[in-house]
Amino acid sequence: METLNEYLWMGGDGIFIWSAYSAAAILLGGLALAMLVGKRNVEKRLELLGDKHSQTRKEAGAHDGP
Amino acid sequence: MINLHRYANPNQFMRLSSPLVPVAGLLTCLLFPIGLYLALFVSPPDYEQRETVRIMYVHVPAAWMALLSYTLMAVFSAVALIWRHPLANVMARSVAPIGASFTLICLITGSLWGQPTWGTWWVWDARLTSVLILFFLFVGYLVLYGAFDDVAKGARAAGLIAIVGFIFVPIIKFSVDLLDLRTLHQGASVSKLSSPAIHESMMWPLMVMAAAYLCYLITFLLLGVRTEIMAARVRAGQRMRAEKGIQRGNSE
Repeated sequence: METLNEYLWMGGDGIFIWSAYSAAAILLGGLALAMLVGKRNVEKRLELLGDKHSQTRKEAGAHDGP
Repeated sequence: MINLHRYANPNQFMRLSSPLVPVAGLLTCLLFPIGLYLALFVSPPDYEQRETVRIMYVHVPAAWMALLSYTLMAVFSAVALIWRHPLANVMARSVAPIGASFTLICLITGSLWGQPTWGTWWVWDARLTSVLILFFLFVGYLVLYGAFDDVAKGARAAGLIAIVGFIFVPIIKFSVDLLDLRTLHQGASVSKLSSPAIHESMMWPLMVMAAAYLCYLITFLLLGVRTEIMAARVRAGQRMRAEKGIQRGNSE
């Protein structure tokens, strides 16, 4: 336990080191998450549009039919 | 000669980038833990900077990637303005938030490194100020890109900002080496390839972290471009549906 504390303390500079690593992790992780969520949302909208498009075509086909 | 316009086709890009995204993503996921292990557990403390030298492994690759991102953004913008390359604007737009994040990481971690090393969080010297301006250029680009109703107009205006702002890239790179300016920032340690001023035990973790950052940039640049292409398809589809609706309304 003491070794872990000693490691985290990093000779008194731990606060600066862990803050720097945390800031990098938050920014890179946050951006990755935002981009993945954005991609998922666009994919959903595209699927929805595709479904609506095929539905419209089906309806048009039904009207055109005999 | 390679026909770049062939690769500028969005369908072609989607097809080519499809297998690249998971490969680059996997490499990012592999390299980051290895780099962090080397940086936090294997790399020795510096004789002068003690343990704070570990901040270098997140700070320096972020600075490199910020400059690379800005260079890419300026080149893509120039290609879009000169050759009207269909994907160039989308690529420039996609690299901007990634570059802004790298620049912000560079600024924050640099400040956290500066306090225990120099005894101050910030100094208005050539290197630090030019990096701050680089961050504002990324943000300005993104704001300007979205400020117009007409996407093409926004892209053109933002592209001009990106090209003009490219002047800061060499200023940042050479501000501590060539310009005889008062600065607290240390000079280049790695770029002197013949005799790098950094020990092997620190060079390896730095290189692995830089590779991880690069793979991250590639992954999310490709992902961003793919998302933008899909978003453009959604917009086109919605426009077509709206136009069809109007036509149907008129005929009735």
